[in-house]
Amino acid sequence: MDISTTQAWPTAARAARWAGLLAAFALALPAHAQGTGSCITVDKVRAKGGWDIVTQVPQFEPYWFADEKGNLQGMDYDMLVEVNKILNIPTTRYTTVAWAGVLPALQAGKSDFVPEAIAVTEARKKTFAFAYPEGDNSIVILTRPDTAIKGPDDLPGKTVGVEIGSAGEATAMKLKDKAKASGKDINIKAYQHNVDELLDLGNRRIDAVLLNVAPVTAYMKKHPGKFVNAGLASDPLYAAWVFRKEDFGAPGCIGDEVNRALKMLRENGTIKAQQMKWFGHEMPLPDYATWKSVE
Amino acid sequence: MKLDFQALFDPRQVTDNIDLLLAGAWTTIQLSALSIVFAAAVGIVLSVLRSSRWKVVSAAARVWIELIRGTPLLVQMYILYYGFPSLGITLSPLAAAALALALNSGAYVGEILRTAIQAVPRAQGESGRAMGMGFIATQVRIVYPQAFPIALPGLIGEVIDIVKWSAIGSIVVVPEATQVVSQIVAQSYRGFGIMFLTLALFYLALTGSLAALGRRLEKRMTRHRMRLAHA
Repeated sequence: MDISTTQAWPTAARAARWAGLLAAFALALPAHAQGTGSCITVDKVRAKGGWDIVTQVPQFEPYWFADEKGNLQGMDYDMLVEVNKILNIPTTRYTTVAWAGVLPALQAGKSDFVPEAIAVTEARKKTFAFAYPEGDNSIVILTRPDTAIKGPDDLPGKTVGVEIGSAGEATAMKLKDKAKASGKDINIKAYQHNVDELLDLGNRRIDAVLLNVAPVTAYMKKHPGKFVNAGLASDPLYAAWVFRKEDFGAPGCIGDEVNRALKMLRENGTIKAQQMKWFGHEMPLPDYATWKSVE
Repeated sequence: MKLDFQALFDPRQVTDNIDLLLAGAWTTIQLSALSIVFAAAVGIVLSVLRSSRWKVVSAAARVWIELIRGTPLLVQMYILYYGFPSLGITLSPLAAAALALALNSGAYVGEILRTAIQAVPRAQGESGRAMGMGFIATQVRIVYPQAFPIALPGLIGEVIDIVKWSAIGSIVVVPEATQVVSQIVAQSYRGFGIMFLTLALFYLALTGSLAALGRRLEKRMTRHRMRLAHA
């Protein structure tokens, strides 16, 4: 957080946001020259040569992961390539951080948006805008055969691992509250990365992991016979890319433009092809016409 | 874009979560205290081994110290917590974090103690022996009391470092203050300004009181010098 470097920052929008954040301390508000209600436009993104993205370390197979050589890939990666073709955006510059840092980075204006399959939850909708969904991101219970956990009702009295700031964590908190109401408890352990809680499930330190269905399926495929998917932990959730709310609402805004591209990709069959490529089956999607990105 | 300062510094985030925050603060204090005690033990053992007349022993202690000082604490903690179960040793989060902190800090403490002992003039120990005191009596009654004040500033620095480094206990799921704060912030994305500010102030209060305590101790231990200076 160095005030002097904000001068040299390539984009006025990001500089304004950082300066705005600093203004909270300094009470110097002229950095808001842009005014309210303005959004990042696709023109602006093209002018700076491409997207600047802060997202999760690639550990969300098959939506978002890396091969052994570290090459980024997955459905999210492919989808953004397709979207970029439609919107004529040359490149995407990725910075990857622990999950708990992703949405705060978006909020602080350090990332244009987050092109990763993020579970659409009511709590997140209050702060963020979700583009048209691309697939399923429901939270399921991953456990070992020896725990005899068959569903969410078996979790009281057990130790459950979750990733900090994840939909799995929010689901675990809700289940914990429910258990407490009937005089029981669920012990929740919060990890920085999904891989760590999966490792600890194998190490028998925890009894179950509450995680999105996609990485659970990928993990079970890699470790056949060792783990069990005990089914949905709660209501099903869609997976969608996430934006700041103000980046929707006018023609040319990145939110509206990405949605336009996603609609084209659904209509021409690309989304279905992507789901088949990465998941091997088609996933249900909502009606885009009634989907509200900003609530 | 309009930044919601009210949301960034919403004081209700602190008051609403006060129970969680206090529990996290208490865990930080426990983890730090545990690590400090073990680091002292590790340090004393290492300083003795390092000063050993047997070359094999002192060389082994030196290799160990270089190994610990030459690798990041984060990596050490990861290995202890996530790596050791494959050797059949499954440590609890608190145990793994405290052990990593103690082993890491202990290597530095060992060197601080050893150099402090060496800084005491040899003639002091020799005089003791000449007066007919045994080796251990000389060390305990003549050398160590003079070495400790020399080591103290370095040791206080280590204690403060342990408190600050305890924050990375969150990577091995110890629910200490930093983890609790990031969890609360990650759930709602509200008030991260005030939350991290509160967290910083908590660490500052803790390290500040430890530093003050250290200064008092130092004054007490060197008052004989003061008296001489004023005489």
